[in-house]
Amino acid sequence: MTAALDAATEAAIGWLVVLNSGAVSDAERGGFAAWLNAAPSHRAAWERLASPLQDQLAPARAAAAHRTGILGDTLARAEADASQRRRLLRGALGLGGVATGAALLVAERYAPLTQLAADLHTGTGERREVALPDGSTLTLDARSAADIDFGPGRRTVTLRQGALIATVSAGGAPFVVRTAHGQVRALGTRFVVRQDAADSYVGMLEHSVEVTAAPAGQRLELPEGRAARFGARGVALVDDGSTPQSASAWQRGLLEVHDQPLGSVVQALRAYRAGFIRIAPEAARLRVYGSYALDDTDRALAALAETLPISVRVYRKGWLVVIEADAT
Amino acid sequence: MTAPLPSVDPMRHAQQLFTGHHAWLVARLQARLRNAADAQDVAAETFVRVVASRHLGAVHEPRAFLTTIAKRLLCTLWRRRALEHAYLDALAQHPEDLAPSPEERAVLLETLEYIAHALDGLPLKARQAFVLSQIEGLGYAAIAGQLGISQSTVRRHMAEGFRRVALALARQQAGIALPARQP
Repeated sequence: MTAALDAATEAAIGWLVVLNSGAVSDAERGGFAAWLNAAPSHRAAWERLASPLQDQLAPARAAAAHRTGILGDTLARAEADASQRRRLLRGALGLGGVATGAALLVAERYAPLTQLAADLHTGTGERREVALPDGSTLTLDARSAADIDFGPGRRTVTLRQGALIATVSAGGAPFVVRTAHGQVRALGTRFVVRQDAADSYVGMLEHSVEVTAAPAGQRLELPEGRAARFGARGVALVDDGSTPQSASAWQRGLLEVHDQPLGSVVQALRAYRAGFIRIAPEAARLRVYGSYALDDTDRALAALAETLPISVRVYRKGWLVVIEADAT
Repeated sequence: MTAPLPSVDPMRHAQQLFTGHHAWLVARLQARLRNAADAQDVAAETFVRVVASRHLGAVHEPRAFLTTIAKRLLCTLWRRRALEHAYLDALAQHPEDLAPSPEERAVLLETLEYIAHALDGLPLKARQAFVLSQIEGLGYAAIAGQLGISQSTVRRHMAEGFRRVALALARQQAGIALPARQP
């Protein structure tokens, strides 16, 4: 589909080329300003092109900043791969013998398709409370996703990503929260569940639940005030001085940390901050105590910088944060 | 007594397509991909795009319509996989960098793919020049040196790249394609 672009847009393109050279002269800047002001259509064409382009590229620019450039190399390698396989993309369906024997990978996206397709999902920095058909409520942490399956004889919530607090209304079918690592069946009213990479966490806020680990099927009843981690290695009580209350403090916009690695603190902050936080392994190992504001990650990062032997550098108007351990 | 639903209802058309042709599409994809999970995924995303397309009226040739979308999708998925593999290979050559987080990687790859799609058909060096300029922030002198071409060639490539992007944006704004970035 080769549409023609109008004259103002063609001119805007010309100016984009000029302004991106890395060596723009004063005369060129003056020429651009003159063109921009010469007619409303010029400014409109510029806005239609430059703004969406900037929005589209800003995150990638932040991700690429202060790194060895490998994107040119990436394109070259992909090209070499492509010319080898181009012959395979033919056939009746028009698809041909695509990737014979090799599975098609859907690359991890910024917002994975599974998350978008979930019944409930929250974005960066967004918490949400949802009423369920039976009167129970779910509160989702930022960057979380859950599916709901309610019907005769079942009240099932599948946590796909992040964390939630369930306040379960009494009566009715068993209320179950599933994660990738097992399930939690409510015997009482209020609990917090978080799905991490290797296992899941459940903390009892009020009354008790029964936790079942997948795949082994090990089961444990968890009383009020206690927490457990469950997954491939079964179910184990958490005994590190943390409480379910602190594990659910995100509900009040707080990250409460009691002797946890800075790496996991940063991971929690990521769900509340647009952009990227990079942390060196030595810094990630440092132990952290305290209460940090999730809704104001600038403040949280400043507080961490003050209390720990780290440097926290912010680039690109906040899009990129780099944390490194101070040299000893 | 409720009135019958108007027949010009996009969701209804999407539903009809699904009911009539989802199983067929999965079967055809499975025959080609020889992988049930992939076939399900691609079929699912095909229907996601059908629902998301804003100009859905009654479709006269449903299977051809679905085939076109599925075909485009497979090309996109294949290209995404190729870019991911190429990126990981390139990354492996530079272990001194702090490893990119999954989010950074995802954003870089998604943007790379967006540019590769918009600039499809342009020569490799044109795509490289555009990426070096617009993501890595290199000036034209540096790009010329790195790619072994003249600065005037770099400018020519950049002009063509911006033109393609302008066309892609115009198409998006007209609702013909899905937005490239999911929020």
